[in-house]
Amino acid sequence: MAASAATSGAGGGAAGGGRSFSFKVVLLGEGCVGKTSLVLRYCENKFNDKHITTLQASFLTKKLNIGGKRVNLAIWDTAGQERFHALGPIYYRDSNGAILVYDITDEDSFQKVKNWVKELRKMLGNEICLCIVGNKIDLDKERHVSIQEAETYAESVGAKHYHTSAKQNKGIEELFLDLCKRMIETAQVDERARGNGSSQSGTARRGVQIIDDEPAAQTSGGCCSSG
Amino acid sequence: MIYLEGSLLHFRDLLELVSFHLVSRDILPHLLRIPDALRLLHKPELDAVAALGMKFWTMPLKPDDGLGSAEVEEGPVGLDGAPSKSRQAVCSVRITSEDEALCIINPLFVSVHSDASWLDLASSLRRSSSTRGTLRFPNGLGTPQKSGSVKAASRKQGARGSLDHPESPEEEEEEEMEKGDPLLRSTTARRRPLHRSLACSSLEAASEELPLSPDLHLKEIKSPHRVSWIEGIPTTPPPAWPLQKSSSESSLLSENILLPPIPELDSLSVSSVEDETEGLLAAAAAQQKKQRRSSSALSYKVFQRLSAVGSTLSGFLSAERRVSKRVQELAQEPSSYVGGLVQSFVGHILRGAGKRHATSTDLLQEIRQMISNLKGYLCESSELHVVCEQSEAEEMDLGSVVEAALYKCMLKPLRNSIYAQLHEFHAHNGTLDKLREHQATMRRQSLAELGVTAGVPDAAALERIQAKLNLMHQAYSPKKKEAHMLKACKMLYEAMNQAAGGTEPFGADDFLPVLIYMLVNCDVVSVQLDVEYMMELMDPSQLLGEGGYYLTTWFGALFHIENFQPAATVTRQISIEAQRSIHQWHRRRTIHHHHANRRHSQNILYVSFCEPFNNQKTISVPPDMTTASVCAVCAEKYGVSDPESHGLFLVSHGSSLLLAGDSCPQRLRSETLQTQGGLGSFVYKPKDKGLPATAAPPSISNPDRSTEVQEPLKSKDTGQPD
Repeated sequence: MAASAATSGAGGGAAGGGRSFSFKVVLLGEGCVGKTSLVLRYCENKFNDKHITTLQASFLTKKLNIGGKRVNLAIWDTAGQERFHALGPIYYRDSNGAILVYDITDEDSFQKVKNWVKELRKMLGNEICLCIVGNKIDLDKERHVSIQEAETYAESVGAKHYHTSAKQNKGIEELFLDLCKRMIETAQVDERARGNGSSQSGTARRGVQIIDDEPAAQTSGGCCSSG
Repeated sequence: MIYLEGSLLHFRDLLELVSFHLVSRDILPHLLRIPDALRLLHKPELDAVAALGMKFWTMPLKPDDGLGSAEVEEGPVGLDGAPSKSRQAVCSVRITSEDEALCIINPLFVSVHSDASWLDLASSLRRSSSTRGTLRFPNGLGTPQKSGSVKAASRKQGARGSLDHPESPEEEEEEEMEKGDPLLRSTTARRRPLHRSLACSSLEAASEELPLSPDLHLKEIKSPHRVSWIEGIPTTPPPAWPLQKSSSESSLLSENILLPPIPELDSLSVSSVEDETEGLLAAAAAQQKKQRRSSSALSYKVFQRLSAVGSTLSGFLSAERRVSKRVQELAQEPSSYVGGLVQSFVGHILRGAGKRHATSTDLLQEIRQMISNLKGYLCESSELHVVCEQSEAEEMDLGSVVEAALYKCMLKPLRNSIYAQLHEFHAHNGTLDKLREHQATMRRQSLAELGVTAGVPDAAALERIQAKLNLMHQAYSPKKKEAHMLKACKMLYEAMNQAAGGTEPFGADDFLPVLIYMLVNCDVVSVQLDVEYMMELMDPSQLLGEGGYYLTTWFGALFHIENFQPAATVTRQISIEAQRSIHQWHRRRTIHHHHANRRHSQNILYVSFCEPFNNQKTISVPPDMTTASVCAVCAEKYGVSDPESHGLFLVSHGSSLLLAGDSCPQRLRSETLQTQGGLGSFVYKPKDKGLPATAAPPSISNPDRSTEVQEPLKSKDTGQPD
């Protein structure tokens, strides 16, 4: 039991002596900005028969090893149409990272990213690692969002900015690698915090009172603090 | 005169035909019963019955005149089943043919003796019945009979397990409809060409069948034709079984006795066996799932089946079985700790515990909590160590084995009651009405209006999906429901792919509208209940992957339908209730997980220097750490030489609030979260920088913020507008 649980760390969970991480990353952005192709490109060679993966790119997973740390990424695609905007929270809840994609040729899509950032910061605070991604740099001639503007904005909201081309497979590895490193860092800080033995989960988190099953969390917190 | 295709044996009526075959060819440990309606019928009447198709089986059976019931006593008799008492089919018999052999198989028997040993067992059983044996295999074709039986068993297994083959609804209904092979072949060596077999003529549904296995003789045609029924719940394992396997097989029977009988077809033992086998023979099942349902798959599956048996014997799987069985035994033993809890809890829910709860979520949470508690107890306690070595326990996923066993002990008897209570909750709060109403509206919308850009399933595919949804609805195990849900997703993708010519895989932009289209064209109300059932009752740790993603997506789609607004007005905000429900779900998901360190990230404080998000540092701040201590850490982190002149501010909505030295930032943060939903940033900056006043009175100067920091802490927070 213990062994199996350890290999399947929860969102952001570090397990197996802190050497294995599972992260949930949510993909946000307007339709047609290429977020699906982006993640598909990244996970391309990782089609897994176990999933219904070969037919879909809505949910993809990727395993990687960063400096001896095993990372399991679960990448959740979201529907970017405005009509589904209200569903955002159910996807980005408990995400460790968010990739906000816009199309550099489409000013509107950048505006959408800004809306998402606002919402994410409001709902999740600073606990989520944000990546703002200008996709389709192969169409640089038609660029409508200036690099300067995008990077300045990203910095102002504590996000990182990346340029990618899903078509030419540019910048994608870097994006995910960087994101993973940041998520690991956050998770490790978390871990150390727990290691302090000062963990106390009695307080509310993210606006919802935690009532019933909190003791379970406390005991488990104690048992994995060694991790 | 009716007879089987290729057979010289003629019979006056169906009853006689079936009776003969039952008597002569079977290995049935239970009472068989032929529906009364069939007994008196001759050809024309049979045709009439055939025309009824599926309806026949749902028609109330008229108790017949003085002729009594047409029972054929089979197998070891002595069951006190009181056959005429109940008309509920507990088990049915399938007739299938393969090469020259006719076999009539009692699925219960197959399930109980799901390994190879029953084949050998069969002969002894046959002999145990005085009425048969003599007619058996006049042509001495014993072997085909056996292999045929095994195939039948494995075929069933295959249908259940194959993930990646679109299965026909008929096939899916196996749980409910045992099928009879219309091409009954006689065991006699001589054949002759003939007109349609009797069974065939009654099978209207056959035409709907997808082309299945091209296997020459095993031409499967699905039908709702139930050859015969066994009445009553077996109360004791037939004494004639020489083998008592150490595995859970006997528990199947005993379970029926000890737990409240479930008046649903799901209790057909085959389904539960598949259930169990699927869970326990995980490795084999996984392999089988990959297996395409092709002609060769059948024989492959025989092999699979046998090799699964092999691994069972080899020990590892049997450890899981032992655990599963042990859990079930414990649960059924009222004097044991676990049994007492389980039984009183089951009784408690059955008596309508829902009335005590404000929402359906609360009810489901109570149940999930019980399962989690029992699971935790069982995994830790010594109760299971009796049946399983420590090393074995480590090797297998004890948690999931126990979880599955607990589903069986608790959710199986509770499923119907839970659904009834869920239904009541949602009928009351209007969810179901809204869903139905919007479903009707959305059905009238064009694909474009629905935002569908990819291909959608056609009528036939929708029907298959609906059949899958029915299975999802019937299942009691959330895990199994999830598997059906994923299959339905897969079928949707297949439909989308077909239209697109199978180029790129689809993402959420394409999938969600298609899912919504599918849902409004299916039984959306049942799905609503199912999704809730799964979300709340599933082992939270199981929801991290694909299943969790699609469950979220289904939840989202249902939410969208429920809140659908035909005008262009867009629901920008997900409702508070929905958010709450999602949150609770995710919370449990992480809470029950030992490595959910996100839970503890509340001890992290992000502090920026001078400006929000500038040079942000993560600082570990326990709830009771004071602002003064945090400031000390910040001074060190940012290398501030004059810490006295710096302070920690909470900056939000363009205003910033200097925190008093004895306040606790972490508590302040949670308070802010609770009262506001939003969150400001903690900024460490010079106290006088860009601020009109320093050291403002220890009250909140900005009325704007009085909501943020209303009476929360002992802190004397000082606020200053930026």
